[in-house]
Amino acid sequence: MATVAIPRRPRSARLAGSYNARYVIARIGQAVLAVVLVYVLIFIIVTVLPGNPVSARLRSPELNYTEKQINDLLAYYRLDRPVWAQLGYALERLILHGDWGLSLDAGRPVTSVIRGGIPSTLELAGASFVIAALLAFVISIGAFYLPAKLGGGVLRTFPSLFLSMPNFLIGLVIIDVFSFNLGWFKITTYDGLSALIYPAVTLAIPVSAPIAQIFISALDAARTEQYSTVAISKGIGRFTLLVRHLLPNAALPTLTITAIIVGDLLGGSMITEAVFGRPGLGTVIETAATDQDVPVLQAAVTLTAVLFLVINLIVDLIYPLLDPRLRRATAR
Amino acid sequence: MVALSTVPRARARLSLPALTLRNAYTLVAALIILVVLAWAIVPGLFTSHSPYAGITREQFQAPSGAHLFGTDQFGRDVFARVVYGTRSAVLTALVAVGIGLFAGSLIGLVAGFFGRAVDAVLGRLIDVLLAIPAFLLAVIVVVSLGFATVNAAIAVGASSVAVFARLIRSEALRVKGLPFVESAYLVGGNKLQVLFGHVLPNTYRSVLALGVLQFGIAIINISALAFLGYGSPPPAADWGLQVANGKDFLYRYPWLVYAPGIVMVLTVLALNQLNKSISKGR
Amino acid sequence: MTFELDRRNLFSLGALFAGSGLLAACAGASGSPSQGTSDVNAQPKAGGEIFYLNAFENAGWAQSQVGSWHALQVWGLFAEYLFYANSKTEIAPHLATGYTHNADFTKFNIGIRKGVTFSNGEKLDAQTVALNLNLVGLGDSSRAIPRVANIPKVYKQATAVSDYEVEVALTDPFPAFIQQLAGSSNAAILAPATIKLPLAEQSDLKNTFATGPWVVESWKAGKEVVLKRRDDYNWPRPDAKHTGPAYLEKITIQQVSQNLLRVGALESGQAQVVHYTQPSAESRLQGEGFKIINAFASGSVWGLHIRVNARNTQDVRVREALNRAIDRQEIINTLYNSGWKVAQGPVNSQTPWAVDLTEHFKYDPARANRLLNEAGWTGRDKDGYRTKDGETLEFIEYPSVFITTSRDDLTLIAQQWKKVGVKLTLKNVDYDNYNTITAVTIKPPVPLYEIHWGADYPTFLWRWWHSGQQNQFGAPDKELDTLLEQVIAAKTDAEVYSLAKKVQQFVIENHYFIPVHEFPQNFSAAGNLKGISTDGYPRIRLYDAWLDA
Repeated sequence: MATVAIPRRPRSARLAGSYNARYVIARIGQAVLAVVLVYVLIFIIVTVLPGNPVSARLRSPELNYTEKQINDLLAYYRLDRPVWAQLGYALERLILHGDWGLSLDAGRPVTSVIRGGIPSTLELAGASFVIAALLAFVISIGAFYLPAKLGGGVLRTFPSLFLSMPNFLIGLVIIDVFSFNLGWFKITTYDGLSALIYPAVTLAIPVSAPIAQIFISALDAARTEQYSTVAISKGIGRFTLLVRHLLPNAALPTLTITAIIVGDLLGGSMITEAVFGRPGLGTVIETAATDQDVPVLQAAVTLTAVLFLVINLIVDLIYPLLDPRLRRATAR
Repeated sequence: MVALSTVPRARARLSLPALTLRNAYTLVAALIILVVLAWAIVPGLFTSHSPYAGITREQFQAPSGAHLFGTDQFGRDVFARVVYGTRSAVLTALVAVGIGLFAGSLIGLVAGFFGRAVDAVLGRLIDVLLAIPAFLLAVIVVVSLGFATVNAAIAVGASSVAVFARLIRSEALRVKGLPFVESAYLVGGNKLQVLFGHVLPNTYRSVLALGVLQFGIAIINISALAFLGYGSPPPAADWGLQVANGKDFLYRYPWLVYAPGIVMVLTVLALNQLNKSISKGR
Repeated sequence: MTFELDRRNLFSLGALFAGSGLLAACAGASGSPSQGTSDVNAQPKAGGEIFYLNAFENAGWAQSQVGSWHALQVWGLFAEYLFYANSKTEIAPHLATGYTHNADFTKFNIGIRKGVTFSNGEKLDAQTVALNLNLVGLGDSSRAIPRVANIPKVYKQATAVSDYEVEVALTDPFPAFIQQLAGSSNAAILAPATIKLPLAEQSDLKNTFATGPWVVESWKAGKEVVLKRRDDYNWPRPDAKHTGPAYLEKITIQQVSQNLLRVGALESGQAQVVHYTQPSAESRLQGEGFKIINAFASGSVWGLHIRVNARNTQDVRVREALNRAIDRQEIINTLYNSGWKVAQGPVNSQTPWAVDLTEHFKYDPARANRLLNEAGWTGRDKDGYRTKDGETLEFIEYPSVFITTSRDDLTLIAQQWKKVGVKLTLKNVDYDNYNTITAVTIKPPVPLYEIHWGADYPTFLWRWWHSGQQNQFGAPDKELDTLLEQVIAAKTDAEVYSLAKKVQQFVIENHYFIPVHEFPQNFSAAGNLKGISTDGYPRIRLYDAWLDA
């Protein structure tokens, strides 16, 4: 789901002058710490409730298991231990052995459950990212250049509109229009462009909104900057101005929300996958959440957090290298 | 070349109508919000139908004068269900924003104001929360709390804590450095007095803007949770639930999805417009 | 000690109705002749590929995980059982050749079919069957493999007494052992190479070797299972229409969880078989030339237990009013279609021991109102619900998390009860806490509890309703307990059935149970997919199915 589109000044921008190995290591250390905390946090949230999925399932009246049978099975998953012992064990298992444990629901290793969902979701998120960026670009350029009368003003409201449309609604409308009414839609094909394009567009629409918002305001800001005025006074064309000066400068603030965009894509993929019946990481997480399959949930959410943190880290580290002003500051 | 003169002049020419257009948008947005609020407070004034009682032999009627948005599979009036659903949408979004605002303010203010070790610890916490996609976090929280609309609201609120905290922390840092805050210390104010007397009031505008924006996001996320089945059970009048129930009939009775859907989009759109107006007002 | 394997014994013991009270889902055998038509005129052609769309697909496929309706349909395509129930719900041997038992029903000797091999080349014999039965009957807690709940707890051990004969020993008599075994969908016979694996590896379908007409070619967790034909297959069930390999070369089973999309895929020719069609789409599909298969399970209808220990449920007048205030025909007309049936008693009409008790709960709102008045619920609150001493007549129900239709059913029942001033409040609960929160033992008790379970033999009634067993009505009733004890003690089917009817009559006359409608397994299939049918559980049968060009 779309989050607020406030461009975040990367921490590194402030520190650009003291950009060195120690800083990089510290940032990486923080990210690793955050990952571990995410892992612990998910465990805490999910185990707030008493009971666990295994014992709930085993106690089904239809199953008719004896207490001993139930206890034996619980012992196998170490669910008979106190919560903190379980957490300690899970952490030890993960950190010392790189082992994410066994899915309580599928009975298979967590890694294989999750691995099954990753390609499809990456494909979806990747395609959506490209579509969202293109969409945002077209809207921004249109809003920037078209006079209000010709739709420039209306285009400026598009990000708001897109931000107001729930993913599941967009998906249903797309299914209704393209599958039911136009008959373009293939449901049983998981591979190929046609199976990807509709869910990808569904996911891309709300995600394009913050990108477009930032891009438009960055373009507006760049136009009033000194170098624009200088460039215009030098008599260069509109197109050259856009490509040489405005775009590079507007792209930078947009870069800072990449991680947020990726988070939105992953969160949104859950609903998109549900609407289109497209199994992936979102489906894995949804199933794990409803089944309280803690090991799978921990691993999947930690994975998304890792992705978020890594992208954030990369952006933070390369931002000063790209920003001409900061580059100058570093050089000085 | 024309470039030099064109750009500023074009802007000058455009500024007036653009301004009016923005005002018009704001006006329409405010009107929509007023209607939504009225629906939420006194739904009975807007429809004579019950949102729960259906006449089964009148199921699946297309929109008409008698049933503005048609009827559903139980022969219930869809318009009545949308109107009555407004209350739950508004209330739950309020709960969500309230939680995000309260917890976020607390964390943000304390982190921003006290700085140093406190900021470092709370800053890590904010980082951790921000690293989990908000909707995923909401799903996990609602699953832990149990399925009900109120819990969905709490979950969405919890997932927005970090966003509020981040904003308020940076606002607190900004305000802390302002001259009048420093002078407040000089005239003998202690930390808490300064915090509540000076820092808090000076952050309200950006916080209000974010609150309005989050209100819209909360409506979307709570209905998305209801759509996935994590909200209240039937026969609750709830926008997300209505869309979820209507989707199985989308092929033949599309109004079951479109009517609540369009109302929801318009409401959130109006909120987003208000957010813009508030931010621009600075 | 050897036993003569006597097929007469087998069939005399029953029109034996086997099946299962499967895992928490719902289950049973079907008495309805399957509606999938065998096409008389056309000549079957081998070859071709079909898509089968499932609402849910497993992430893990160890046999203990295939209890759900979705999974067992797929499982039954490549895994086979010792016994099965045909479409007339008669039990018959498949991988077995028959069985005998001793006089007090503590020893069962099962003959094993010769010439059967698993898809990894291993041979089916008494040794492998004993290995399977022991895992199914006892589980293995060191590998977290649970025993199959449907197998009676009196199961002691299976041993191979010769190359092709297995002896199963029980600790206590259990006359219906074979019926229970036949009805357990997760008691298929698998290759030793498969069942010796740890749970994590058994969950992976590439390690699953069975004896069915198709074998797993590939699979993706929660997504699809691709089956390919086994060319050396030659041991179909006795009720099959042909011998040798199956006709269909390839079956791709995919998860499409949205009802809307499953039906859409069938309509657009992207899929040939769809499990769980929405009732509302069935008539449309039928009009377009698709086959609709509604196979009713032997066992409970979709209905509600009234927990007599809950608040305001002790008064039989109130209970009868709840029963009489439901217009079952309106439910069928509004939410379902002509393929569905109103309930005539606690069990489906196809169940051999069913009895028509409609008269006792026929829709009669006037009578319901009168009964509620008599019971003292004469006040009204501002919403029009009945009150007594300031308390509203309200009942809480948690819609089943296992079937998608119960929310709509209950929404409509709430509308109907409202007309006589009774409030029905639905609450949501997640999948995992459903069993806990609706348990008989929970305090305060929930007043209503859904049932939609299979019952292949009247012993199930004892298991559900006896106060020493599941005690689903929540309060011991001496008379009912006595009747149920007689059911399990009875020696002959005729005796068991007649007692089972008495039990149902008692339960309905006392309004412990609210029967609503019968509950089928439903499939929709493309018109050109011929020879598709269901068996007595019901499980889909594709062995005789073929594609007409």
